[in-house]
Parts: sequence; structure tokens; C-alpha cells
Amino acid sequence: MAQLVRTPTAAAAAKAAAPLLQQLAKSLESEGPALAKRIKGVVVFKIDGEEWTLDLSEGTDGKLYKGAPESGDKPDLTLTMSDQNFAQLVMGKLNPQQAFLMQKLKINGSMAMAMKLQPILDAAQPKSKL
Amino acid sequence: MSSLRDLVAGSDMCTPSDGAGPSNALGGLVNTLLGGAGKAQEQLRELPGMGPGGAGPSSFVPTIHTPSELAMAGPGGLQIPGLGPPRMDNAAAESFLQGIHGPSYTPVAGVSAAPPAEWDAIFHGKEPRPVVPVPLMPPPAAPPLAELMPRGPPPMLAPHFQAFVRSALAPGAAASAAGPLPPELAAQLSVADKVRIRDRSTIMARHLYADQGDKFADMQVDHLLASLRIDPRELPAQLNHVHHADWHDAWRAAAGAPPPSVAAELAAAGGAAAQLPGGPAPWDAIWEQRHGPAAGPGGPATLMRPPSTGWATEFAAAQAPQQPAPASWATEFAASAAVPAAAETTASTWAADFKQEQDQSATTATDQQQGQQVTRGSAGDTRATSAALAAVLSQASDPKMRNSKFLQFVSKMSKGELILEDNKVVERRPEAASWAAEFAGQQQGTAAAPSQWAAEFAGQRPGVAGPAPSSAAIGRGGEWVEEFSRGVSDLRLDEGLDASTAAQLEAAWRDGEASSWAQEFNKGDEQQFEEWERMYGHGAVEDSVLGGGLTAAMGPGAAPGEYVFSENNPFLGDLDAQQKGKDLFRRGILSEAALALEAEVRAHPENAEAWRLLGTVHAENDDDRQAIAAMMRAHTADPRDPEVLLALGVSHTNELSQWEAVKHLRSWLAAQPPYSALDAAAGEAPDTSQRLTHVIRLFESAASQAPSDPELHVALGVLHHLGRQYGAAVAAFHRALELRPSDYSLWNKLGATLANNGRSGEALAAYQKALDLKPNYMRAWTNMGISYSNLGEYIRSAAFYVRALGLNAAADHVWGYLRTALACSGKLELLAAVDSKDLATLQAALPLE
Repeated sequence: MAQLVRTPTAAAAAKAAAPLLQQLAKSLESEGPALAKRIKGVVVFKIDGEEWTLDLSEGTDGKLYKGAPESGDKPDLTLTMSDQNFAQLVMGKLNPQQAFLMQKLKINGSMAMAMKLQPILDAAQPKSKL
Repeated sequence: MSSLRDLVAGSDMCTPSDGAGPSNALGGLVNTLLGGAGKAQEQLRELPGMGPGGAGPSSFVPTIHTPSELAMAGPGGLQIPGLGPPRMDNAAAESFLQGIHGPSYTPVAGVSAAPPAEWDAIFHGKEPRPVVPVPLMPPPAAPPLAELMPRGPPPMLAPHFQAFVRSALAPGAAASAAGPLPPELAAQLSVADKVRIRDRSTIMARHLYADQGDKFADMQVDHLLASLRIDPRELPAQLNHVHHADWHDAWRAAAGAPPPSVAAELAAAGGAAAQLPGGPAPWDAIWEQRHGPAAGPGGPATLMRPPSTGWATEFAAAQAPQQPAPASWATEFAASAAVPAAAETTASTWAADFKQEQDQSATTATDQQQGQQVTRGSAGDTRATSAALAAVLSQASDPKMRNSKFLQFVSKMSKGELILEDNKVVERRPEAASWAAEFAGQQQGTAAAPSQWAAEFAGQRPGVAGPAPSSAAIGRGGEWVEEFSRGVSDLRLDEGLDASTAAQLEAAWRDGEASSWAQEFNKGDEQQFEEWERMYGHGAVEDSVLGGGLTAAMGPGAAPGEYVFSENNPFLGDLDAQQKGKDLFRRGILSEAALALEAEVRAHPENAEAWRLLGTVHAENDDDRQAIAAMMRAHTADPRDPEVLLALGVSHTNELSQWEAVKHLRSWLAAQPPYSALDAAAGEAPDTSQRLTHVIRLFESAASQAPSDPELHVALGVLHHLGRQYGAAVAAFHRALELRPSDYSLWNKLGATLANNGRSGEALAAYQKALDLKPNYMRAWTNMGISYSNLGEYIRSAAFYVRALGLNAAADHVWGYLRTALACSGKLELLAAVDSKDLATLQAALPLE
């Protein structure tokens, strides 16, 4: 049987957002449909220039991937913030409205969807492991 | 704090008034709530007799509204204008009515009204009365003041107002008991008076009839106006109100009584005894100037009041809709900001700076949008609501209002010409929608453009223009380009392609390079789709382009579920690897143990025990992915090994793979002789969505059958955790712990369940117990870090992560958590050390005492 060997590499400027987005992706497996029912749209996160698309269109199970929305449509909501602020948002250090008022978070698109951001952020929080 | 006040209530700069005018009702509210440190409020307080009610719409005019506010404020406590104070009781109403006829005089005769005792005389007679001081005014300084003090309604109108108010208390009573005012008297009412009457009675009615709604209130007002022969239609929407520097002087000159506390004022005012010593004299003189005996529609207009009803409507609209959305912050913000923003925009002079208005409009739009979004919860309704607002505003009779920039702005909003972009409102011209037409037009004009583009394209492809293409594909591409340039002059985007060109293009497209992609797609290669799904579908993000650091380490194409061996393994070839691995594990040196066991399974891939142990090691090292991979290998060797099945259930739960977890736990149950019958009897769940509850019920029945089986309770706890029934999970783990108190992994499970349920403090205690039992339990260290982060103690959390990394430096996700904790704690200088994985520096900087 083919055996795969792990090659250790230096972590290339690993971002604080990466594990959170990974956790979000994992959470979508169980919470994706419920989130899609609430959000019903496509949210794009622009974190320090990196673009991540969270596709929570109505009726889907939810998808998270790097880059612009696949369908090419304009996203319903685009959130632009720095890596550090994204981490703070997810961890609860900063709440979305504070961030918005302090201009740490830029919102483009549907304000209504931006109000419903919290469950998405919660889903990105690290979970304790049994 | 004052900036907050200014933001919400409007500072002195926003309105020409000192912020306490009728247009700034919310200023009053804020002042009342925030303790009234505003300059205006202090000035108001300094003016004797002005209670907190003076902060309301009546601030400029300490007349009927003061007593009314006082009356309404009477027994209850702080009444805040505009928020629907409770109904007046009779006593309060009477005192209010008395108060009306305090310091007032008719505009015509220039005399003040008679004291309450002479109401009847007034009612029946119309002769002007000499000035008589009333309880409301202290006699000595009264006479000049009484003359000048504005004002209640002219005495002839008293009965009308009486009836108006009384009808509020006797619901269902006829609106007006008095007959219509005789025309001569009605004519004596100036336009200003009429407007004032209308405005104030509207506000009064809204208060009085708060529980019967605005329409009813408006009806009452109409009745009153009709009885006074005031035709509301002919009244201007706004009363041009004068404001001069004299006012400010007068305010400042007001008697310097120390501003009493709000409560004290209420108490004092409760007796409806407004003391007015000589202070306001200059103030009244000014008032007299402005509103002389033959007062016309006020003096030069520099301050414009918004139409009273409009304001009331807006305010009510902002207040009334209940917010179903859970985002209460936004509603507060919108409710508090929408009104002053809107009011101020209308109240500010129209000659104001365009830029300033743009900013205000932007805020208003945002607020409105927020407000509307929250109340309606959908983007499309902003436009509907703006349209409604625009309609309301445009119905205001004043042409200035209609042409106002604010109104234009709102109507543009409603037509969708303005959108929110980059936290600003951006104008989108309607023509933008027809860009296609423009573009097409351009195309028509410059038919050469497409051919230019084609030529460029051709030029970019190396050697294509020439006759010797290096590959068939490029040749085909070149051909296509030629064809395209040839056919291009006929190309008109807006008109569609004529048949021949279309056919040419089609052919070119099919033969060109693009075809290969299209063909691939159309083939519907199953493998391809799977690959795509794996890359782009949920749950497999780590395999997609997550960035260099994390997945590159996995090596190319590491499918989930495949075990990944470490490269440099010192134990390779060691015959005693398994034993060494076991020893290392017992001693708690997990990473080394993993290496030793890896060596063993590389040499003996069929060694199920080694695989199982390897899986356990990885789980304790907080690597569920590898744990699952290893456990699956053990599982294939022995599908009924309960330890393997339980471990798989746990790891899949951690990975949030519900289906796999349930499957394995169920298999675990079936593999136990005591429960296999139960499992067989239970059968399958009626449908997939109920699978988890079905299995939980099965386990619970098993648990009732065998309450002393700790593993059963553990499995049940894990299932509950899967279903996010954290309370039940905690209970199950507690029961298991009673039976097996020294199981460190059990303490960790309890802690993790508590933490995922938000009980991070209790979780820490459980983790501590686990660490007491096994000091090098890396998973528990990581979990502690997570719990400290949940509690907001980011630096401590980082220290725990560093400790965990000291035990297992290969845990990439923990490096990520550490980075996150540092980002939240603000210790950005350590991020460089994180980048270089410099544990020594981090340990020095983040010690654990």
C-alpha cells in the first residue's frame, strides 16, 4: 500500500484566520444547512487581501472555499477586515457592531445579512475536543 | 461622553437652536437619561420653573407644556415626552387646565387671561380682562411678566381646549362640547397662533390618546380645529420661528439658581407652582418683540421647525415597530440615531454645505437602512420604506420641503439609485443599468475595436500569426483568431450575431482551445466531479488552497482517512519498536511513542494492536485526523474491537462527522454481547434525520438495563454531545466518572462538553483533574487554552497553547490557535516567533507559573 510521507515545511506566514476558517468549514458539515436557511446568500470575507467565499445560498448545505464566488455573481455581502480583527471577531474579543463603528470592519452589500453574522462567527470558533 | 451625546442628540452646532428645540425631542430624552449635563439643559434648569418637562418640545416656550408635562409627570415619576406617558388622571387634568390659563393673553387685546376662578365669566363674556396675577405667577413681579409671558390660548378658546382634554379622559365622549367659535374670534387668531394650536394639540393628543393610536388622536385634533374654525389645510407646514442672539443672552442672564436635581424639580413642580421671579424679564421682552400684539407669521425665518406631525410620525415610526430580529444593538442604534439624524437633516438650513448634507445623508441612509433592515429584515424593503418616507415628505405642503435635498436623497434611495458601498452611500446612475447599450453603442462606433482585440490576442500567442504553429492546439487557436477578426466587423453586440458570423464563431469556438475544457466538463467525469467536490465541497477545505503552511505539509493528494507517516523516524528498523512505543506512551511522551509505533506498523502493517495504540496516541496528541486513519487500520483488522469503535466514535465527533460517529458507536453497542440483542431489535431509524435520536434512545434503554457500565455512559455522553444536548452529555459523563474516577480521558471529555456548552470555568476544573492524572496530556493542555480564550484571558490562553506545543510541536492547528490568541491579546511582537515556530522564545515570553 502506498505510504505517504509527511514533509515538514516551514509554515508560510500562517494566518490567525486559517484555523478559524478551517473550523468554520468543518462546522458546515453539521451546521451548514441550518446556517444556509438563515443567511440565504453568499458572504465573501476579504481578510488581509485574501478572499474567502462562504456560500450559504438557500437550500444548499453551505460551502467555504478560497477565492471569489464560483458562480461569478456579486456576493450578497462582502466583509473586509484585517487578519487580526477577524480573529478578534470570531473569538468574541470584538463584536461586529463595534468593529463596524470603529471602521475595523468594512461592509459592502446587504446590511440585513451583516446583522446575522454572529452565528457564522460562532461556528468558526475553536471547539474543545472530547 | 459628550461626543456620544452630540452624536445621538445633536450638538449645538447641528441646529441653530441650542439643541433643545422642538426639533430635538430626542435631545431632551438623552438629556434626561444621561443626566442632563448638556449646556442647554443647564440653562434650562437655571431658568426657574423649568422642570425636566422643559427639555421636551416645549423648551423654548415655558407655557402650556410645562404644566402639562408637570401634570403628567405628577405622581408617577419621570415622564419622557414622546414615549407615551400614562394617561392623565382627572386631578392632573384639572391642574393642567388651570395651568393653561396662567400667564397668557390674547394676541389682540394684549391682556392675560383671568384666573381659573373666572373661567365661566370668560366663557360667557368676551370682554378683555385686566391683568390679574394667578397662582402660577408670584404677584410682585407678575404684572409685566404676565403680560409678556407667552402664552396659553386666548380665553375664548379655553372651553374648546377643556373639552378637548376632557374628552381624552372620558373615552367615547363627544369631541367638542362647545360650539364652533364665532367667526370674528376665529379671525383674531393669527396664522402663527393657529399653527401653534395645531401643533401643540397634535402633540397633546398623541400623548393623551397614546393607547388609541395616532389616527384617533389626529381625528380629535381635527375636531378641535374645526370647532375653532381653523382649516388645517391652509396652514403652513412649518412655522418660521425666530431665533436671535438675544435668546442666548436671555438664557445666560437667567437667574442663577443652582440647577436642582431632576427629582427635586419634579417634586417642586408637582405642585404646579412654577416660580418665576424677575429673571426671565429680558427673555420675555425679546419674546414680546418677536411676537408683538399684532404678530404675523413670526419674524425672519432662520430656524425652521419641521412639520410637527411629520416629526411625530417619524418619531412614532421609529419607535413603534417591534424588532423581531435578535440584533438588538442595531435596533437601539437605529432607533436612537434615525430620529435625530432625520430631524436634524430637515432642521438644518437648506443653504448648508452640500458636503455636510452628504455626510448627514449618508448617516441617515445608513441609519435608515439599518433601521428598516432590522424592522423588516430584508434588503428590498429599504427601498419600499424610503419610498414611503419620500411620499410622506413630499406631501408636505411646503415647496421648500419638496425640493429639499433630503427629499431628493430619500427618493433616490427608494428608486435604488443609491447603494451602500464601502460604508458610504454611492450614487448609481440609472443609466448604469444600461451599460450594455452604451457598450454596444461604443462597439458600433468603433467596429475596429474587436478586431484590435483579436489582433492583440493573436499577437500574444507565440508564433500564431505565422504559418507554422508549434502545436495543433495553438494552430487551431490562431485560426480561430483569424476567423474572428474577419468576421468582426459584422459583430454588433446589441443586435446579436447574424447567422453566418454566429456559425463561424461557433465553429471556431468548438475547435479552439476552449473546447477541450468544455468537453471535459461535458463528459461528466465522475472522478473529476469527486475531485472537485472534495476540493470545493464542504468539509474538505483543508485539501483546497488553504495556504502554504497547513496543507503543504500533508504532501500532495493526502486523501482524508489515509495515514501519513513521519519522515525522519529514528525507530525505523528497531525490532523492539512496539514495546518501546508502549513504554513511551505510558510515560506520557506522546510524540516519541507515535514514532516508535509508526516504525512498528511500517514494518508490520497487519499489527492491529499497534495501529490501535497509534490511534490512541494521536487522539491524546490532539490529532483526530491521524487518529481516525490509524484506528481505521485497526478496525479493518478487527471490526468488533470495542475500544477501536469507541475511539472512532469520539474522534469522528470531534471532527463533526455525525454520521460516521453514530455508525461506529452503534457498531460498538452491537459488538457487546449484553446489548447486541437490543441493537438488533431496535432496527433502523425511520429516516436519516432521526438517526441520532433513534440511536440515543437505544443507548438509553441499554443504560437502564446496565447502569454500571461506565463505557456505555461514555458512549451515551458522546452521542448527546453530538446532538448538542450538552446537559444530558454532562450528566452521562458524570455517571461514568462515578464508576471510573481515574480515567483522565473521561475528565477531558467532561471538560470539553462543559466548554462547548459555554461553561468554560467549570471546564477548567475538569481539565485540571485530567492533567493531575496525566501531566503530559497534550489534548487537555490545548483544551485549557481554548477555554481561557473563551473566557477572554488571551495571554493565559497563549501560554497554555505554548505548553501544548512543547509536547507536540507538529500540531498545526494549535499554532493557529496560538496566533489567534496573540492577535486578540495584542501581543503582536510575538507573532514573529510564531511564524518561525520559535518555541524557546515563546516559552520564555509566556510562562506558566
